[in-house]
Amino acid sequence: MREDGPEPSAATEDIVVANEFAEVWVRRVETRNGARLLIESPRSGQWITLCPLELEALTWQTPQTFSAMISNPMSPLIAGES
Amino acid sequence: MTVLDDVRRGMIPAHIYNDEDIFRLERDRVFGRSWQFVAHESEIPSPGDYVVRRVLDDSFIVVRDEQGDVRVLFNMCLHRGMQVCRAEIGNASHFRCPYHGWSYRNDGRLVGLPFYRDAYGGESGFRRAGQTLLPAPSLDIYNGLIFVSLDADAPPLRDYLGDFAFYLDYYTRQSDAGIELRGPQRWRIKANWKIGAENFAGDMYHTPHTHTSVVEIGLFREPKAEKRKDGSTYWAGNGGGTTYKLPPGTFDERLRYVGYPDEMIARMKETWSAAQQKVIGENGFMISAASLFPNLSFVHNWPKVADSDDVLPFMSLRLWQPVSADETEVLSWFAVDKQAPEQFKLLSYKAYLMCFGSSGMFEQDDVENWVSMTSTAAGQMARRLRLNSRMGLLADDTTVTEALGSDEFAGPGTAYVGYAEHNQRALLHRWADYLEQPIAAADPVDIGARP
Repeated sequence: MREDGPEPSAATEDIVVANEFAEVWVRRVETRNGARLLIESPRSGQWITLCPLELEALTWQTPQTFSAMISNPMSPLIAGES
Repeated sequence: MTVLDDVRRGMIPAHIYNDEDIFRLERDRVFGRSWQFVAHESEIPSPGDYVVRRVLDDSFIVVRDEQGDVRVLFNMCLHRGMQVCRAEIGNASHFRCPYHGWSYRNDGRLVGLPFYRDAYGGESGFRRAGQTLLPAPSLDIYNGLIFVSLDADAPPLRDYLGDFAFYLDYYTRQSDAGIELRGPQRWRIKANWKIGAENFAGDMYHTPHTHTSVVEIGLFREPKAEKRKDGSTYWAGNGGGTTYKLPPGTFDERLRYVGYPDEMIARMKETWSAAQQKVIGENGFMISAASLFPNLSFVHNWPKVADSDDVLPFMSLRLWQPVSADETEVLSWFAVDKQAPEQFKLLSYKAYLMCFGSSGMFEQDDVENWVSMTSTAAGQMARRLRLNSRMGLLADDTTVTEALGSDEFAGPGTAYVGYAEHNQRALLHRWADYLEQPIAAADPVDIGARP
């Protein structure tokens, strides 16, 4: 979750996913040597890029993982060393 | 060792170009200690970008971590020793070993052992905290060139480069933005690694003969390859190289003559020191090939790229990566200033491909010689032959021509005009110094055990 630094340049059009509680823009971004998925919150300006293995790790989760993340708004679930 | 004494007086026992015993010593004492180029920062610009490179038999992941720092990590899983990254290039926040699924952050930290509690009993069985893929013992960067040394006590890279850094800037810092690399092309040749390093360090003498055909087909503006004898060679710090003598003119005119556009020349003037500009503008020498001890070479030349007399310069970095006594993996990169106009980059790349890289004409000419030398060096007769590498020296070790004065050559080190083997001797002299010094065994690292 980052606010600092320039955003990676977009390789595809944004996909907008929104409801009454949140809105995020999602797009694939290319680096020189690979690709990541950029997830951005236009309201907060916070964004994160996830590599394929991180994305696959999401598929192993249950709603409880996300409940825990959501119950701690605007902060990382696990604070600590960078 | 008499072999080293012979080398130091410029008489080269021919078998050193294909000898298993010598190669074992080189592996430990030259490549176990010297600074080794592994990648340029422009090859890993974004967090997670990585390339996999070798230092002889050791595979390393060269990666930019999520904080933006460059890491060079020994590519061996801490569990069973499997290679963690097998693709040569990619982007990843985490690396996951294919064997048992141990996972690492891209800064090297071990984060995951499947069934950690069940199988190891957690931290009390296996101390995970603080474990990382082994970092290269030493890591240092100059002008974006990432070097590692297997020696934890290696001197700082800048000290190792010494005055060669002055010349390295011509290839790697034509503006504040520095260079970007394309490639590498990677291929294997049945030749000993030293031959290429020596050739690029100082062999202007082979150009008129080996590369006659390149001139005959009109790839260069200069009508005769023997023009090389007007150039100079220099040796400074841990490297040396060759230059061409340019026609009269100012700094700007001479850079225009080799094909640089005015906007690039303006940036060179802002970036290079007065002495660096003087070598070109006043002394009239333009850098061409060079080698940094032991096995990294550079080349800068300016062929015609279209059906006109216009020439355009290109640069290449190349690594003579030893595989065995008689085989070398060549890694050849195209290098160009990041701020160069796009059209320049395109044509410069074309110029590079015509001359160097796996299909380049110079490369084909050179390697034919080097393969033949290597195979001939394997036999019994080669052990009876000491090759004369004393060109430029008289019998009493005085030089055939005098070294250039500072008014004739503003760069550091020692420079001579014309054909000589001063640089090849300087390179092999260092080689002998390294081979002479035994290397201490490094302390082993225990993984996950209690101290």
